[in-house]
Amino acid sequence: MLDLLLNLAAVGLTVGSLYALIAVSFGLIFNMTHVFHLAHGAVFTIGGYLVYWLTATVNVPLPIAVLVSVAVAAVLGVAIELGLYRPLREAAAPPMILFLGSVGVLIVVEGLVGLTFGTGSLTIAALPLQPLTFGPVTITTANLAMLSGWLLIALVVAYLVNSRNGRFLRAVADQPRVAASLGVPVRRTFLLSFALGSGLAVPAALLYGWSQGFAPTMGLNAILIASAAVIIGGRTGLLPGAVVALVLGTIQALLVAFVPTGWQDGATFAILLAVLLMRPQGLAEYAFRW
Amino acid sequence: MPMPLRISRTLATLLAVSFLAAACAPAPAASPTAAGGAAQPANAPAAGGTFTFGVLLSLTGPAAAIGTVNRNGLEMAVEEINQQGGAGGLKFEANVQDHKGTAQDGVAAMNQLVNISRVPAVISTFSGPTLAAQPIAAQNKVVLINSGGTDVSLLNKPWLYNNQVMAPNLMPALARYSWEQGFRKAAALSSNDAYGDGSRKSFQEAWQKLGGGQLVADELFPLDATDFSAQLTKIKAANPDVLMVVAVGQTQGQIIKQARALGVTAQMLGPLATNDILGVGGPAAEGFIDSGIAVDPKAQDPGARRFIETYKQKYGSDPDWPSGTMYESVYLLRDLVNAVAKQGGDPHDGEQLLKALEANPTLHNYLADGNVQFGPDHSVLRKLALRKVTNGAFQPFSIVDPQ
Repeated sequence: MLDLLLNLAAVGLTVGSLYALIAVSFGLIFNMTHVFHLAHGAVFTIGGYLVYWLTATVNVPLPIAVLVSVAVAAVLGVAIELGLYRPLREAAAPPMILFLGSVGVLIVVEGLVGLTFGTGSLTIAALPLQPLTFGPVTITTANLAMLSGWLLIALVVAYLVNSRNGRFLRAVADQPRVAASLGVPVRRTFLLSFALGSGLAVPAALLYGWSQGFAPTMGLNAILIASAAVIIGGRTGLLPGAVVALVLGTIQALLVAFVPTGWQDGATFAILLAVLLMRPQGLAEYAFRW
Repeated sequence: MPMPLRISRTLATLLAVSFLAAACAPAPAASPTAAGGAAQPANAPAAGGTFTFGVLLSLTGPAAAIGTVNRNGLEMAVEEINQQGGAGGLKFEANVQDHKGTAQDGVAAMNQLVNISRVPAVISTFSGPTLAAQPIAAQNKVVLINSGGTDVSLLNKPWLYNNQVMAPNLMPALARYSWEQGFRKAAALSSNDAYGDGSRKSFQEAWQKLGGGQLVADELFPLDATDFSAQLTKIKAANPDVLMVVAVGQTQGQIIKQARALGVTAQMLGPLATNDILGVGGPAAEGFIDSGIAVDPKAQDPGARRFIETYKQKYGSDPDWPSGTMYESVYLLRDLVNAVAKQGGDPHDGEQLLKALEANPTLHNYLADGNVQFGPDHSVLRKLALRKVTNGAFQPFSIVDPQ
């Protein structure tokens, strides 16, 4: 039993780290712009498939493929803000309309990716899925790589805390009107948040595809868990959402030892519901700010 | 004034939501009497002498590749039948709808076929969608031919005939093989739907009968899952000799791949695998064993020879059961249409098609020698093949009779 719990904890903590990275990439946009950016799932999917296409079809080395995809994803995120959300916002559309637009983008992209690459699950040959054993614990190479998510999260937080643009981002997230009146370029800062969040989706998508394969539906799966974590984490920071995502992943895995595995998702979201009922404003007040 | 603006915003939101809801909702289930009573009788012959039948396939989702293979068999049969001049003077035409492997989408697609297109017969695949489509078929007098689903709850249902060997007959073959290989500790990982549940129960029963007792691990996963690490970790801790993987299409491949990556060393096997597991599973799929309706390359029957050889020419690979049973089911419809037309009846009437099927509940076997007979429970018993993935391809190593 102890061995089982150790192994499940290892799986949960690593998968939770991936969830945390996705949550931070989603939170970078949601917390700043307050758009429920479901289309982030579309950027996530396109980013992942682009890495696949560049490495498998064009034979680009993996690191270069990732860099190119990060750039493309950032541009894509900015394009969604400029082409969809900003015009809607300026036409005084209610948030629900922005959300619907976002759903539309996600569904269209899911369909287009399926048409282009097929609905089958694809894998990158350069990323072998192998067992790694540490004493009683066995995880996969992909699981181990997921821990690198924290390095990226640390970089993002350092940028937010230390750079001038990072301070702008935090100011806009906190009090958009006050920030605007103090001369923070809100519109430009929105673009920055879309670029950063979207770029960060690519390493997350790569880790996701490495462990589970690239499929057109990967964006929706990822965004469901990430958005839940960010909402529970609350709007005052990125780290609370990341920690909630980590806890969520760990609970999801550990539950397997105690409830029949078919009910794993149901049990996880039941815990989420309970937390929401107890703290509708999210957990962030208890946590640190960034 | 701010008020009208707020109202118009609310209205716009409501409109958008209702539009979206309408777009996503299944086709309205128009009452057959209301729609068909006054204007034209239900299932009226289409203009131009066409016999349109419905087909429910998994065209998107995790089992989309099975839908593609089903479609190969479907298109081949329709093409051939039309080249031979159709049936009963009618050209064959398939109206294909996507059930995505889920019961919910199966209902929407079936409603579309029955209430909008008014087809008199539907060929379906997969347990969940077929089970969900059956009440609609019975209510609207539409012949439903299941060409894939294996769940035992599909048996003994009015208007539904199953051209598939069901789980209780499919799983014992795998259980017996495992037992004979000396495996004693069995585990199962199954999808949490009619197919997974039915198959796993049948395996468990067969395993108990062989003297194996309980399974050391019996795990489920949601139909749309892609990460199986938690379940597999639990299975690994139980240290089984053999792991039964009940999943469709590429999901089976993903499980095999992730199992090996987590250090699961058990012999893996499962029912009804497709070539999907080779692509997705890669080297991890090596040694995987499956059972399914046998396609006998040495069949002597001219129909079977034609199917096997034409398929190979056309698609560049040996046919397997999903294309084969679909092909057979289309030919079954052709025979029913011919039988009804011969007696001067109307092939667009589902009731007359059903009568013809009840009068002669057989089906030409295009996959091996000998006709196939529907039993009183509306299913077929036919030879099964056990296949093993060897050097990246399925190799049949044993043809067995189902039990």
